[in-house]
Amino acid sequence: MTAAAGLTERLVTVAGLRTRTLEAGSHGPAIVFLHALDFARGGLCHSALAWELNLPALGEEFRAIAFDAPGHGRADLPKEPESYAFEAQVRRLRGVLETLGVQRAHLVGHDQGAMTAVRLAFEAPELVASCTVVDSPSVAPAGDADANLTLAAPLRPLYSRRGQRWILSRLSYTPHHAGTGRFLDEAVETAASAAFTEATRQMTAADAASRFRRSLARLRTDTFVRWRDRGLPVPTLLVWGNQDPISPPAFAQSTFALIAARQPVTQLRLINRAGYLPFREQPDIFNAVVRGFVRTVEHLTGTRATTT
Amino acid sequence: MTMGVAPKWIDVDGVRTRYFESGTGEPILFLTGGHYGGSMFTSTVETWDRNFPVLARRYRVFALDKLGFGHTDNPKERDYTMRALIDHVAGFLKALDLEGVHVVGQSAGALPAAALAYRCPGRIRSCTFINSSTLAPGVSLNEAVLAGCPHPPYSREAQRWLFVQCAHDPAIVSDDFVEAGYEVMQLRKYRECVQAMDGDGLKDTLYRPDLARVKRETMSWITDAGVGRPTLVYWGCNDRAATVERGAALYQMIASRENDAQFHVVNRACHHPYREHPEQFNEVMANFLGALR
Repeated sequence: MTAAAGLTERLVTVAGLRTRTLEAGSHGPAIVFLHALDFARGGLCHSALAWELNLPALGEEFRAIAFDAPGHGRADLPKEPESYAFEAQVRRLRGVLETLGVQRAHLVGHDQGAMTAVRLAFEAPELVASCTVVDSPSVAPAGDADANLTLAAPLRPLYSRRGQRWILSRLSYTPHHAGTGRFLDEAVETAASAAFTEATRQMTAADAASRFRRSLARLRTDTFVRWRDRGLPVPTLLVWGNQDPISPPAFAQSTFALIAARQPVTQLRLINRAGYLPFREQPDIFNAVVRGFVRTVEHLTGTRATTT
Repeated sequence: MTMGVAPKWIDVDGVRTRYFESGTGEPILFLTGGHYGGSMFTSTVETWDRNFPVLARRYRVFALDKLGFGHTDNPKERDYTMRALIDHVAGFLKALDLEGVHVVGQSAGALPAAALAYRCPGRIRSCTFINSSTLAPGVSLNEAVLAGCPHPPYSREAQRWLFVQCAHDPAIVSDDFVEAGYEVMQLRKYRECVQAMDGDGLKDTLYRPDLARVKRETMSWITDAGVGRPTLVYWGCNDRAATVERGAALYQMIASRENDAQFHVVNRACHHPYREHPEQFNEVMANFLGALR
């Protein structure tokens, strides 16, 4: 099945749950992209398609993979209420890597997806060649006054094209990219389906949003302790939109300092004229930065992240 | 020779100038830091030894002994000013008729790099600024960081001490690098420069007032117009004098005007991040320049 140009789309079953994968390229080190999550049904309809402007370009040199997290995009919902806790995201990532035959991957995570990457690096550093953390208020310490009003008064209906476009625009430096590719189209299509309504009902019944929020808060604390006492065990790049309205570059600089204290190869890159989704707003620069970092890490470690 | 090629010489408006050149393609010009004179230590163009040969594989790479530095003549008529130094670099580009130059300036070399973008915009394609107290807003802590060198003037030990103070890991300070600085400090023209700056007091009466004017002029240009060229601000985060916060402040000044403005920070790197982690710098540089094609 073919998705956007240059992307191979497949449905795979991992631990009894179906998910969609998007892939470009089959040679070289594997890069796995982790999109942001929205179990609260309060924001952007995130999915693997968020990375549609990055996979083909990086697929020229690497095996570039993205997949829908459970309950997002075209993926099945988790079956157990406990599976809305964050730990299930990390198990899921391990399952997807195993199913796709990826033994070692460079992980690129956006917001909550970056937390998944960081947690797998702690849990199984042998699987993780490097972590790239992209605009992640989930990972960055928030400070004392972290309430952010960027999305406080959304345009309703939230999951209409108008509503989703409003969110994309609010999160961006400019909304020029909103209609690029299939991301927005699919988000609106998905949200209009009966399956989405049913999924929302099930998630509400399972108390998904608060289970997720509580587990994320717990893991944040544990992550800060680990950074401080032992360090993040893999080379790490932070990439931030210089005009991110919900997680400004100062957050990235603080996070950099915390990680750099113990991880020798830590880099920070600010991309100008980009907000919360720099990989969609400035894809060429974003792709060049990730390509350069992965090359550097491969060069430094002298090994290749491989697939079987 | 640490640069991998023999030096060349050119007359720039009557100033005998030493430089290194290697490779073919779009030109890159490296500008080293340092201020005129100094009896304890000097900056050396060989600081680029881990980048120059690598980037020369795809670019035409230049590294210049600035006016009054290295083996290049001192300024004519004792014009020990930043203005004269910038004129000299501009004259160098003109003498070789270089256009589309990617200028890379570190420390006190970043100020002339920025000044070139508005002095001779026709010749400059992009700017890269690295750990520069001279260009960044705020107060440099160099005076404190480099205070109290325990070694005699003009000695290898003093030169080594400087590089160690400027490094995150002292292991980076190699003998050939120290020797290059030591060799310069033994030149008669170098001793004349020190005499003029320190002995005759030109540092305080001439150089610093002029530097302040040039910095103000350059800052106001950046505030009003950005740099006018794609700009990479590259910073080693462990610099004790040119702190990463000052790098961020410089970047934000530029980014408010300049679409293509990149800020890249690397860890375990101090004042010479391109030498401390060449593999990281060379890759970032290649990507930054590659995107401008």
